[in-house]
Amino acid sequence: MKTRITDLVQDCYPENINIGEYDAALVARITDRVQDRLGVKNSQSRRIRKLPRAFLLAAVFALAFGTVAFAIAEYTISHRKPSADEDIVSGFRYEEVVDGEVWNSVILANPDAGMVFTLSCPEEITHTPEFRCFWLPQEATEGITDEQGWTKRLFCDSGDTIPYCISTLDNIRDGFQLVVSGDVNVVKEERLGDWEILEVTSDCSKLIYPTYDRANYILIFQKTTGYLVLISGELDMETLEHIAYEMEIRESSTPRMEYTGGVPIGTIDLGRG
Amino acid sequence: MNEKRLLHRLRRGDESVLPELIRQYSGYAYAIASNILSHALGEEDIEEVVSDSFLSIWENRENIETEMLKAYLAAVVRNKAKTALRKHHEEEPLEDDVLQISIPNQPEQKILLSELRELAHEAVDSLGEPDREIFQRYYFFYQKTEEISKALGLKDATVRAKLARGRKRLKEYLTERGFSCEDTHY
Repeated sequence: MKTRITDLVQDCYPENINIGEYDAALVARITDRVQDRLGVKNSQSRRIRKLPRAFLLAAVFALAFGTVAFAIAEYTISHRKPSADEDIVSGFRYEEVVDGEVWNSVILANPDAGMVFTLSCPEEITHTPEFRCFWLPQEATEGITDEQGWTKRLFCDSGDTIPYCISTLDNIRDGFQLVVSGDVNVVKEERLGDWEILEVTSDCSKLIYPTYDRANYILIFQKTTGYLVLISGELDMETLEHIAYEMEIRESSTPRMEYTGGVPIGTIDLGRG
Repeated sequence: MNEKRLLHRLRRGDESVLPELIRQYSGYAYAIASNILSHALGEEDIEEVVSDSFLSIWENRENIETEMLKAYLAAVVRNKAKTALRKHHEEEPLEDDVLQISIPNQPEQKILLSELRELAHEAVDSLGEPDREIFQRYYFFYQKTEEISKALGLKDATVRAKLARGRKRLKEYLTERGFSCEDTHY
């Protein structure tokens, strides 16, 4: 008889040999294929890749955005590198009137600004997002979660480095500008359903006040609601992607912060924002 | 998450384990499928085989007898990939893979194959390192000799020589136990 060696050794499973590498995009595609074939559509436990449709429906009902305009609106996150002579500020720039006197509150010059992200969001947003993580490379050192793991911020400080920081941006409003310092580049832009995912690297070695050499950022922006979740850290981008993939985002019961005027500008630098 | 816990949740029918399985093992499953299929089929077909494998594990979760989930997945992926090759009328990737085995008497072929597999297992286990790892990488994972040499930091010629030695050892082992065998082709 003829037989193949590959068939003869089918039981010789090599326990200690690992082949293949983790690939977040492959995981997402395989998950989609398997779940589509299983007919899973709106499970609550779906991760970000499959989350948008279910999340959008939930948001529409929960926030009672009855207008057609909101339902079909799409909001944007754009980015630009500031020009050399441009004076970028960070902090919340707004004016308020106290006893008839106009105060220009909190303007902080940021000479290290390397990229400005501008958001367009619906004025109707009344609540902020929250998230929970099903996988983290190491335990967070700061951040309070509820019983189900929902939170708005998880921070990991290893002493020498900041491996990761995950946070929601609760004060977003239309025109909000986010500043990242350093030599900043958007290395990947991906759209997954309603979500716009931006992967950003920042070389911070030449900053006036450097605290780390390099930081990575993943901005997760929902175009239908304007919600933004930020994952940043000194960990490599692949690990941050892994966190993003294993994350679930939903609307929280916390109302959005209100401002009396002006357009907010905030830094989202790792460990500072 | 460790293998036993995944397996426990899988057997319990916990639907949330499936994305976790895929996250943990899709790179592994894809590598095996790709090693077997990439000479003949494209990315889409390879991913289909990987998806089929996870689906098959989910659908047969109540019948999984082994406690080694990763090994079970590897076996499923290998079988699915080989089936895909046959479906597309494509050849298997390894050239030096076929043995002509003379059978002393004619028992049921299924029993015979099972015995041969047991003996092959023993033969592979009897190889020293790194010969055993090279043999397993090549014949179990279908890795190319260039990949193996890179993974182990050996010269390609060394890997090929050790593979030849492993094949010789397997043939001798089977022959000593009454199954004389020669290299051949399909």
